[in-house]
Order: sequence, then structure tokens, then C-alpha cells
Amino acid sequence: MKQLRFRRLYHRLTLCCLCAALITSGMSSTEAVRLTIKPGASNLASHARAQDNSSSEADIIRFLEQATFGATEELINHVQAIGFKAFLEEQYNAPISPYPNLAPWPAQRPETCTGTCVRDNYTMYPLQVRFFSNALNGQDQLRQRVAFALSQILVVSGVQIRQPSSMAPYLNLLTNEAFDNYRQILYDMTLNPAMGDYLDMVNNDKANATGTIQPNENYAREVLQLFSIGVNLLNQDGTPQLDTQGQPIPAYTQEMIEGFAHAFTGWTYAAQSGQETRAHNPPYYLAPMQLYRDRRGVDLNHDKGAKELLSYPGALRPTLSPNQDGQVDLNQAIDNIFYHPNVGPFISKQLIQHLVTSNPSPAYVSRVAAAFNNNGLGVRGEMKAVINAILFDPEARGDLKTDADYGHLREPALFITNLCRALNATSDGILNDASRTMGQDLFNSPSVFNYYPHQYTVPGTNTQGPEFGIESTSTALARTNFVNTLIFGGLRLPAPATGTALNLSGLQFVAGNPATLTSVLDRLLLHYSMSAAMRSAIINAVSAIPASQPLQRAQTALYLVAASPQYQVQR
Amino acid sequence: MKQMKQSRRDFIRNSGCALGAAALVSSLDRFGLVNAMTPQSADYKALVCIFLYGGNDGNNTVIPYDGYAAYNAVRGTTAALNIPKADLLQISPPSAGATFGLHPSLDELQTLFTQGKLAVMCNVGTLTQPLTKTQYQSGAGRPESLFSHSDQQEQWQSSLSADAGQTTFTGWGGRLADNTTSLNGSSTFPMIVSTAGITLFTTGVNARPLVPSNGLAGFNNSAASTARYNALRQILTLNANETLVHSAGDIMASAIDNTNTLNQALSGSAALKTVFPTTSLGNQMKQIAQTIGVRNTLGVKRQIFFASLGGFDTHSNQFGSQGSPAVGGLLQQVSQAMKAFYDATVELGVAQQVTTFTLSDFGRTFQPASGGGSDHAWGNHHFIMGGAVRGGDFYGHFPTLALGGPDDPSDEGRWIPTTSVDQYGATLAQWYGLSSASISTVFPNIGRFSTSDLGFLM
Repeated sequence: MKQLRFRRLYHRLTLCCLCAALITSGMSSTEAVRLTIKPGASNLASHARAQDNSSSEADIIRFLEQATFGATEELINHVQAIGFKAFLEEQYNAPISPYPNLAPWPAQRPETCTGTCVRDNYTMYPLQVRFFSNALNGQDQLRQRVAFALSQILVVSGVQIRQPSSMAPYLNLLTNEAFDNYRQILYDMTLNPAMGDYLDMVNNDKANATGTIQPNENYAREVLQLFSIGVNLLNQDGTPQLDTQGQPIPAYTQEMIEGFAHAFTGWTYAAQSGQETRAHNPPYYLAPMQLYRDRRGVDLNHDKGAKELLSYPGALRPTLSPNQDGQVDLNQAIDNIFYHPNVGPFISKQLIQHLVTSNPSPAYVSRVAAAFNNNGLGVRGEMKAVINAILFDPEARGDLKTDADYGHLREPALFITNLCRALNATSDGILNDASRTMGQDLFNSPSVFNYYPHQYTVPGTNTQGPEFGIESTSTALARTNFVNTLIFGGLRLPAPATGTALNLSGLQFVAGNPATLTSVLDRLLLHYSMSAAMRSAIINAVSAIPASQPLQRAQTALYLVAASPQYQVQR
Repeated sequence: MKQMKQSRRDFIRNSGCALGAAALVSSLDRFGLVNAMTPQSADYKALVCIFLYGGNDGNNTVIPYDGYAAYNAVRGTTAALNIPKADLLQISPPSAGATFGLHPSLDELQTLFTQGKLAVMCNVGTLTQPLTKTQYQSGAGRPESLFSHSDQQEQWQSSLSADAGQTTFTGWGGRLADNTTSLNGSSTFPMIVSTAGITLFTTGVNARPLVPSNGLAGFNNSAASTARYNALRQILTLNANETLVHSAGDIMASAIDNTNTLNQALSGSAALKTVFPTTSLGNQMKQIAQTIGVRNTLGVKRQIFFASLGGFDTHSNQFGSQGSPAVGGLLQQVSQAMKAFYDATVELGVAQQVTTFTLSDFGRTFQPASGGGSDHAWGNHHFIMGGAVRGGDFYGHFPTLALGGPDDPSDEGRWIPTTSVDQYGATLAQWYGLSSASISTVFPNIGRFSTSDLGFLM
């Protein structure tokens, strides 16, 4: 596995860090002056300029934690130079880091395929490695972040979809369309074969003659409950609408689910080139599903009755007319869903939760939902408008958030990438085992409800914290133990894997002064939010190690910050 | 891993000792430590919950033998979702007055049933009130979001199906732990241990589950390591005004301490002789048995365990998943794991003190769905196992297997439950030691049903 390296500017950068840290820790002016004559002093001046700008360094670091897989020194400097808006434009235009197109293998695994053959062709392994490689090294950081968030809303799981070759097109769909339009995402996802397999959309036929076998309702239910409108009617601020008795109002009925189930009938896997089209084509995951048509072009497996769909003020097609073509029914059904007023707040709130904070104020949700409803040019569902609204909102921006309920627990994959990127890690991308022990086995969600439900409330509080849904005593210790492994010796794997190791040279450089070391980490990992009590706890622990052991000092300080709940929660 | 600092609770308890007895009780009460003054229960009991995620198809788990024709009329159609009559493992529950058959993968459960150590809870499910078909069709109260996985899992684990919109933050396992802490005396070890992560069931107002693991790594007795550990412990208590940081810190602290306690107890104990299948559920049941084995070291008299198995959402290819007449499947895993666990409780001498029971999202439609499976339904059949079970019999009411029949408000065979989750749970909880006064605290809606004790436990 090719080792991935990061550009390392650490000689310049660690001095920049050092200078910045000295300024914030209030060292004597004599020492500050002495340091300005060393190489890299120009960064010192630009840092001082940045403090006068509206985008302070702390806010830049926070922004990068929301919009990428973790702030790096390089990106901090870059955003400082060009500003948030220009950076986002770059991100919108950055080349896409794809998932590999893998060759399909037989559904029944051949006996000759064992060991790494199984790993590479019958598990999510190649996609997991590519995820971490892209996250640690790819240019299109924001795209990958949004695609990752979408993969936790429109879930397909490798627990059921066994081959990575089947999953890759689904992941590429989300990656390619992350900045497009949500209606397109919904439509394309409905015809994605991995999704079709996962939620029984594929080969879902109209009822048989006697009516003893009915169309499968699985996809119909989940597309409403999870991918678009949710269970209850919502206000535009994301709060549930209540009836005159103060109870939530269901957004759909069992009859509507059956209506959609009938509307979605008649689709099968794409016929492969050279193959005769059948009512049920053999499994094929590399092209969208197709509507089965006999030689006369009749969609024989599609239900021709009328179908009851969602009813809401201004609803498009609350009922589908009978005798429509399956393609027409599908388009109208997707429109019926897409224009439901719930979609804006339902999807917006979850994207906010994935990128910024678990508990957005209703006002924040409604601002983002408004952008979903209309991008300013009359277009509904534009992802860029939603992303801009999320990241530029005052509730996302700022140096320091003081609201008690603000922030979100970094999910395992983000915790790993943030730490690795901040510390210039060298990695072969084989990090899913670590993520799995922390509760997040990538692309193997336990169910269509994701690793954790988006409404999960932290026990003992009234605060939502979805990522706490997998934060048990076992997974919490896994985080701490991962930090221990990574810092004290690195994550070592048997050859040919090369594992993951952090670059601690910058920290070692400043380890002679425990206060400076702590300040450098305060900036790097906590965007200057470290409390005085935490600071002195770290300084004490570092001081227990002789100055002649800078590596151990650096490791100790880094461990204490990385393992801390203050870093586990991104604020 | 040695403890370097006194826990805050220890400090508080110790500092209270100088006061007079009455003042002590009232001051300790503020910290929820009154229970510390009451003695432990003399006996030991454990409840073991096995949650079958996805909605197990009870219609193919417990099948009429004498009444096979009605079953076959619907399941034996072109869809062929029927288990052949000759493959059924026959059981004769006295209450039913007829012979039934278990799914062919359930050999071990058939044995336990015949030995009187296993009972079947028929047609149990989520209800807001007792409900007949007529009442259902006239719009009487029914659970929210029937047939939705997440909502039904929540309702099974919380027992709260009434009051639409009622925010459910706790499960009945957690509330049961909250209301029986006195039975564990002064032990601070978590009452709930989960081998399947954290769930609503295991969350109480105060109760949190321990999810076992190998514990905290990377420390030794050197001065530097000790200093780092102390700093870590201190940092875990900081920023307590930030809600999520505070919660993360608490979870980490309890993880370090309680995992250490459990692991020390286990490392000092003898291995079990009972052999467990090396399946997901088998491994979990083994871990639970081992933990029960060290109950005296842990100083506990009451324990609640949670295990789970997924994959039961058999919309298609049900035979491939649940188990066909020829292939073992998930039900085989359940049967083998449960039997091994029962044997382990016999080995530990606690067979009559440990009761195991199953839960699931819902049952499945009697009518097959296209693809060789079944859709989401409602009332389901479940198993209760243990030496204290009045086994070898059925409890509740077995539904009439007819589409649109007296138990089916639909046309697909979705049985309205005749026993509620509340009643099922309350029966288990009272055996466990929940006082009558506290039943409605743990099961707020129990008063809507005719009885809180279904009689399947001695």
C-alpha cells in the first residue's frame, strides 16, 4: 500500500506556532524580539494581521473543523490569506476524489478466494482505506465531508451489501452529487442498485393475481421516514407541529406507504451489455436500475392502479393516476416527496448536526431550511446554498462558543482524521479497525438508521447528541486507548501495511517549556479555548518529566489534550 | 490499574460520617445515597434481555401443529413461506389445549420447553390500552408509528406506547435499575451490563450500563505515568458547565473505574466449564455468564443484562436469514446460545435465579411479501427461560391465524397484541424484586391493563 505523505512545512510552521504561542502566553518582549529574527518571522507579522481581521485564527480553525476533516497548518494559512468565501469556492471546484471502480465477484464466493482476496472483494476494506486516504490527503475536503454526512442519512450498509464493488457506485453517487440538488440525489438514490438491494426496491413487483403477495414496503417507508420528511410534520425551524391537544402530527399514513410501494414497482437491475433483458435481471451494481419492459415496451411488473401519496398544501400529485408508465410514476412520486415542506428543515437540521452542532437553535434551522427552500434564485434543494447557509451562519462562526449545549461529539472517523491531520500524520489509510472499536465501522452501519439516530438525546440531559449514541464505556475507552497507541509509538500494522504515525517533531521543539508546549496544543487542537485549570493540569504532568526527554514531554501533553473530553467534543 | 484518587462519591460519603444518624440520612439523601444505608438483598437475581433487532417473524417461530391447515392456507401458497409440518418440533402446552411446533432450528428450546424451563409469551406487543379489532377500527388509541423499526424498538425498550409525543429518554431496564438500587446495598458497581452497546432499554434516569472491554491502557507505576494519569482524571472533571463535554467526561471516568473493577474480578475467577457456541450471541451470553460468576466479588445481588442479535428484518429471503427447514440461520444461533447460557447458570448454581427473555421490534405479516419474506406487523411470540419460569406452557392468547380475522385489523395478518409490553415487563420486574409501590414508576401505563403479573414466573 502506497504510503501517503503530507507536505511538511514544519520548520517554518512550528516557529510560527511558537511565535503565536509566545504572544498569547505573554512572554517578555525581549524574548519575542529575539525570536522575530529567526526564519519564518514573516508568518509572525501575518499572524498579528490576522488577529485584526474579522476572521480570527480561532474562527478559521473552527471553520476548518466544520468544513474539512481537520485543520492543518497549511489550510489555516491558506484560509487566512484568501478568506472563507474564496476557500469555499475552491472547494466547490476542487477535483473529486473518487472511490475505486472495482470488479464484481460472484455472489457465491469461490473457494479459491481466501485471506486478502476475501478482504479486498467481499468486505468494505478497500472503500474504508480509500475513505481515510481521501479524508487525510484529498483536496476536496468539503465534498467528502458532505458526502459522508449524506451517507449517514441515506444509508446503505455493507452488513447486507457484501461486495465493495456493489457499494462503490453508491458512495460515488453521493460524492459526485454532494454539491448538486437534493431532488437529483433522491431520484438517483432511488434507482441506485445497492440501495435497491438494501431496501428491496429492486425486483419489487406489483401484487400477484390473487393479491396474496403485495409489493414490498421497505423502501417506501424508509424514503419517507429517513431520507426526506421524517415521521412527524415539522415547522420550518425543525420543531414538530402540534395538534390542538399538543400532540405531534404524523407526516404520512400506512396507506401512503402502500401507495409509494405500489408506485415504485417494476424496477430491476440494469441488463448488462449483450445480455437479454429479463423481468428480474441478475444482480448488477454498476449502472442504475431499469424499469422492466417486455418486447412491446410494456412495463409489465409495474402496478397500474391509482396510488395515494403524500397530501399537503400545494402537494404535487397527492394521488397518482392509474395506468401511468412506471417511469412517470417514479418521477411524480419523487416530486411529491421532494416538495413536501418537511424536507427543508428535516434535511437541513441533520446536515447542521453532522457539520457544526448537535443542538442548533430553531432559528438557525429555519435560516438553513429557507436556503433549502429557495437558493435566492428560485431553486429548491440546492446543496451549495444549504452548505453556505450552514457554514456562514453566525451560530457556526465565532472564536469561542459559550452556549452550554453547543457543539457535537466528534464521531470516531472525524476524531481520527482531525488528530491525524493536525499532527501531520503519515498514514496508509488503514484506520477503520480503530474506528470500529470506537463504534463506527465505516460503511457497515448496523441498520438503515445509521450508527446512531439523529434524535439521540444524551442521557441525563435534555440535549441532543447523536454521536453519543455510540459512546459507551467500551467505545470511550477505545478512543483513549487509540490516542495512547498513536502517540506512544504509532499505529503499527503487519507488513505490507505501514500503519499511521504522528509527526511530533514540532511539539518536541517546544517541549523545553511546558507552558509553551501546552499553548501550542491549545491553539492547534482547541482553538485557544483551553481553561486555566486544564492548562495547569497539563503543565504539571509535563513538568514531572525531565526537560532532557522532550519526546516524552510532547507525548504526555498531546495525550492529555487528545484524550480529553474538551477535544472529544468539537465546539 | 491502581486508583490514584478517591472518587468524589467516596469523599462525600466519608465526609458525612461525622453527623448524627437522622441528619446523616437527610444529608445523604441529597446525594441519592440513602440506599447505602439499607442492607443488600439476601438472595441474588438477574434478568437477561435478548433483543432480536429487525422484527423476528413469530409466525414461523411458533406454529400450530394441530391447527396447521390455517397456517398453511396462507403461508403455503405460491410464496412458500411455510415450514413443512413434518419439520416442526412439537410441543404441547396445556393451556393451549393443542399441539404446536417450534421452528426446526430451535431444537434446544424444544428440549427446555419440555423440561419446563421455557415458556412462550403469545401475541405480546406495544399497546396504549387493551384493544379489540372493533375498537381499533373505530379509531381507538393505538401506539405511535406502528411498523416503524426505530419507534417500535423504542416502545418495546421503554414500554411507553401511550401519550403520542411523550419524550422517551429512559428504558424500563434503566428505570428498573433506578428503583431497585437498594437491593444492591452499598455497591456502586453498575447494575446494568450490556454486551450490545448502549440502548434505550439500558438507560435510566441515573442508571447507565457498563459495556465491558479490556479497560484503560498505557499506564504504569512510574512517576511520569502516575502524573499523567492524575492529570487525565482531573481533566475529565473540567468544563462541567458545557453539557456535551461534561457527559463525555463522566462516561470516560465511569468507564475507567467500572471496567477495571469488573476485569479484576474476572481475572481472579475460575473459567466456566460450559461450552458456548462462538457466535455473536454465544459470545455475549458467555460474557454474561462469566460476569454472573463473579457477582460476589462485585458485591451485587441484582443484575440486569442486555444482549442482542440483528438481522431479523426479513423482508425477503426469510429462509436464508431466519432459518429454513434445512438451514440453521438466526434462530439456530438463538437456540444454541440460550441453551448454553442456561447450562452455565446450572453450573453456577443460579439456574432459578436468572431469567432470560426475548424482545423484538414487532412480529411480521402472516401474509408473505414478494421476495420470500414478510413485512412489518405487530403482536409477536417471545420466549422466557430459567429455573424460576413456570415453563412448558403458553401464556397469553394465541391469535387466530386468518387474514382479516378477529385478531387482524388489516388484510395482511398483523395481530393486535393481546398482552402488552408493559405487562410482560412488569411480570419480569416484580419477580426481580420491584416493589408493588414502584411498579407504576417503572411502567407508567401499567394501570391501563388488567393485570401486572402474567404468572409465568414462580
